Amino acid sequence: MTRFLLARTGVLAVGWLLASLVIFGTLRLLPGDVAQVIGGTKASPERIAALRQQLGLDQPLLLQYTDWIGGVLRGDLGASVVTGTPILSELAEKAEVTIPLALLSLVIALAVAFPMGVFAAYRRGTGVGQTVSALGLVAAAIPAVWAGLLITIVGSTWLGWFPSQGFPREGWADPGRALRSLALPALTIGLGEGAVLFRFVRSATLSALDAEHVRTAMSQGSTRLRALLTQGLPGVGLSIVSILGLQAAALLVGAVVVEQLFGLPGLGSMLVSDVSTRDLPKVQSTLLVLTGFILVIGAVVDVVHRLIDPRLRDGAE
Amino acid sequence: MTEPNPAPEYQKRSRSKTPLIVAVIVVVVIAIVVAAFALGRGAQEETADDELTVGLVLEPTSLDVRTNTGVATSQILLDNVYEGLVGIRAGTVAELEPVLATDMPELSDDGLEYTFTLRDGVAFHDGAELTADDVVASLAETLVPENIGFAATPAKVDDRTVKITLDEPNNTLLWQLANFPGAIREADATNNLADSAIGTGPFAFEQWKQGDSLTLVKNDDYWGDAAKLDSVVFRFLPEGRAAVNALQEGDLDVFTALEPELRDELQGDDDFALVRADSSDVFTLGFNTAEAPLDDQRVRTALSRAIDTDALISAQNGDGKPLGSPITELEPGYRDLTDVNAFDPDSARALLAEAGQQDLSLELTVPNIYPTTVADLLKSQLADVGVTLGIRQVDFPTWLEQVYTNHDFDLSYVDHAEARDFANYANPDYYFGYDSPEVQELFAKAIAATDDAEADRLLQEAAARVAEDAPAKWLFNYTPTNVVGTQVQGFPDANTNSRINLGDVSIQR
Amino acid sequence: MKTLHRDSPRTRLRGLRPVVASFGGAFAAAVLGLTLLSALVSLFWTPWDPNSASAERTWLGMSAAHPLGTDGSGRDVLSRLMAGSSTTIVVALGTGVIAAVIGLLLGVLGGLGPRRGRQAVTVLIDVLVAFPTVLLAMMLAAVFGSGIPIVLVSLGIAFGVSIGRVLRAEFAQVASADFVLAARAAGLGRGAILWRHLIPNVRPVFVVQLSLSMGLAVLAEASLSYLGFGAPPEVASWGRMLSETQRYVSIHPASVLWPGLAITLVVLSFLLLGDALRDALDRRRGDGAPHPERELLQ
Repeated sequence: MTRFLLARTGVLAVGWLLASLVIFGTLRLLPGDVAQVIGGTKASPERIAALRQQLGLDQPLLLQYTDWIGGVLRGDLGASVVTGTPILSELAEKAEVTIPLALLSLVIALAVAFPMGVFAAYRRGTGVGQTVSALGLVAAAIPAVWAGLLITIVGSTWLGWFPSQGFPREGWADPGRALRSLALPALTIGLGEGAVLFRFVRSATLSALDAEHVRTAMSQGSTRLRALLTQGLPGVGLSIVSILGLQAAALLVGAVVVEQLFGLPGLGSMLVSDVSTRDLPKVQSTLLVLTGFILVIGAVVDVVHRLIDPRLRDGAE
Repeated sequence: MTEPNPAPEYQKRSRSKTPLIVAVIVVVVIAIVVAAFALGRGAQEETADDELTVGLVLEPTSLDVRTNTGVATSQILLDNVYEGLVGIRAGTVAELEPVLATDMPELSDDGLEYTFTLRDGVAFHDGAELTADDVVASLAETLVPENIGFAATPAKVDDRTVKITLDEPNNTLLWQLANFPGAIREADATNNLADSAIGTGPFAFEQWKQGDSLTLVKNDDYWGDAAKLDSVVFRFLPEGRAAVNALQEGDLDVFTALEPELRDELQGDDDFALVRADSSDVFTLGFNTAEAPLDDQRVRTALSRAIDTDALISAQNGDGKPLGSPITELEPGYRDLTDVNAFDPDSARALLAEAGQQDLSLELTVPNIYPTTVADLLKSQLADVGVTLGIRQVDFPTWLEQVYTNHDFDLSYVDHAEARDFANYANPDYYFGYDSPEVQELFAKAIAATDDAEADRLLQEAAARVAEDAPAKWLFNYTPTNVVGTQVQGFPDANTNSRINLGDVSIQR
Repeated sequence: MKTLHRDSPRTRLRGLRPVVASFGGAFAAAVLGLTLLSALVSLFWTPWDPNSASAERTWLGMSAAHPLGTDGSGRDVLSRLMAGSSTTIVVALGTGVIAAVIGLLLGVLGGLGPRRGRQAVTVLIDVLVAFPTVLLAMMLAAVFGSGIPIVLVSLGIAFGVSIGRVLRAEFAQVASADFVLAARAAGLGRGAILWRHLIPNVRPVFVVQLSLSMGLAVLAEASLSYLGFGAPPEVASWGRMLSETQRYVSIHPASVLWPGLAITLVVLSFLLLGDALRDALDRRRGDGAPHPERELLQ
């Protein structure tokens, strides 16, 4: 077990380092730099050159990279090259919006996918089961922008229950209000994600229904349903946990679009606008943190999976 | 492991209703949660009655007025937080009036020395008193040739008098003093100018939540008439629909520069007035005059004549006025030159044939901050005279690099929002690559003129010359639609794309 | 353990009949066929020039001249839908090809290569999977200017990595099957084993994943267009049409309906096709066990 933990941590570290190289390199390819953005259309070339030097943009690339990574390892993510605000505090502020959004979306997705997926698998072959499956398929096929529009029209314009844009300025000081602002965006991401998870749950439940220990329970007299609930579903739950790491990236991508659609000041819209202003230190630190976050989730899930699932513990790979 | 067998048939003992019950419980729980939120909606947030919420499309990248000259920064900070010796009169685009100076300056006979008397009893937002030293320190930093294009040396005469000396007469100095280069900052302040601001204006900077909003609060110790608002919140809403929703949900009092096609959505709404603001915005189709085939004046003239600007304006839902030159109605040097190179596709085709360019293929570079309606129409209009226009959409920094700095483009579409920027056409290094000695001479004489009427006449002549040479096509003078709630009084109705002076604005809810 | 069959050409073709026989499969085939047809026709003819803009024809309703009305620039919606269908086909096929190549490479290297290589590929896959596609597309678009090639490359990489993840596991599993060991013992070369045994047995999974990827690629293009990184303005694309009209949903709701509906139907068809293929191919293999992990694809 310890050997596995060490190996897994090693893989995590290497992966993170690799990610940092990819991020740094790709961003340096962008045309235009922040000195030009700040200078705008009124600055002379001399002014822009002076700005460039002031901001440290003319340093050799290797130095810029090592400075950055060194800082990150010490816990200093650096500062925005445009405003000088420390990146960590900005990230924390924006994460206040995006992380609850992602979590809420995940809850909605699971709340929808789990019961419906189990139901569709249980009633496989029947009319109802097939209808549910078809609905899930259609939900997975709807573009995010369209889904957001439809949900806004229903939830805000017609019913008037939820605001269709913005996030309260006081943040979570009034949690009710903050949650209401996140309701429609979370629903948009959650339904799409739910449709994907639904297929997964359905497939996993079918697999569970076929599994030996479930059929053993059935042959011992338990009903199909009870056997499923007591023997099969824990396995399904386990499989869901194992794929959560993968879904984190998908949720983030969903968040970028949805934050734009609903005017939420979160990590997604921050990234889009930072790429727009070429605030490279901010973009690269943000991407590094996000990628690291997702990698860590994946690693934790792996470890938990290994701890829980006795079959894997025996080192068979 | 065994092979999977088909599941054996066996009798189900009873038709279990458990899944149905589970599903019902889940649905009911969700419904309860949703209802709780819906009911909770009754408790609306109490906005301070005298807080104005203004929506802007663009957000400042930085608040540092020494280096960042974007319009979002000037909209928010100039006139409200920062003030200069002189300022732009509210309701106009280019008329100047004294602000921190008691009067318009005394000008020496040779036109080289401007003497200002400072107002008494002016304090910065942190309590420090405004002195001549602050003025000199501020201007010494920003009134430099890299910023304004000519040399101007500020000097302290005494505690209440400041003098600015030029090497050559230049009547644009006052204009510069009313804009970014003239914003007076406290000499000894140590705040980070990029994300905070200390000035002398009717509002003090309070907070900037990047990506979301910026808050100003009333300056109770303002030297002039106190502001009628307790606080102002600027919200950044690049997405037009989110802005409309915010207006309709009561989250915004005002929204500036509404996308033209969204006018229809608020047209009949009694809660809002749709006000078209006069402005100096010029949507410019720039030609790369230094490179073939656009170095041929016949080609540029042909392209200019192929474009029907009235159609473009109607596609903008009327949010524009026709233009024949880069100088708009409210700026000095304006003359109606719209019949120079007016819409005439036959003439355009003839000219292209004469120039031997019947099958021209050109590329239009467009920053992605604008809707593409105009670009789409241009494509069709040019296709009509045999020119194939490819549209390339890039983000703004890329435009700055490729078009503005490297001059690597054929045609470019961008909004030149600043007033009195005719100097660009007298600058051969500007991205148009337009080099006309006559225009440069006329312009130099115009800025050296000591008499306003003379300067105006010279500018008009220069503009007429530029119109003939056609280094660009001035598609229209964009007059943005501002959506102003009926509860708001005194919101500026001119120049709002550059300045939003809130000193006189009040709310009555 | 699964039963692994050798494929003969005749069984391969006959095995596909159940795909079209099922309702889902028939629907998918019909929609995709229509889209392909529309794409081909639009190369030669559309009722109007999809880029013909005019200030006088903006926002017209449905009429004989414009069966689906016009958009904010006065362009005919039906013609743009037709032209957009070719963009959709290009995005789906282009992404499919790139993803297939990358996925196969990663799968083979990750599942069958030497131990160090396999570990390296696993790490690489884990990192790339954690990397959000949208951001990759944003950065590439800013570098090279937004356009179809950028969309294809970034989506191709993203989906290729996902497919590679699945294939890696499949190859690894198949490689340790009894009959493969037997073939190796019999002296069969690596290449021959790969070609004659491994790939045919991985093919069903591969084909299904590819079908899913192509559908999701069309969805992703719509999201990228909304953020401004999709097809350039003069290339008609459903994603772009959707993002351009979404802000006018209250004033011109019909304009949002058509592109959204088109995208949904095509993506649905790819998903249905994937399901039908899986049912047909899995059944033939005699393997009824579903594999939940393969349902996922970002």
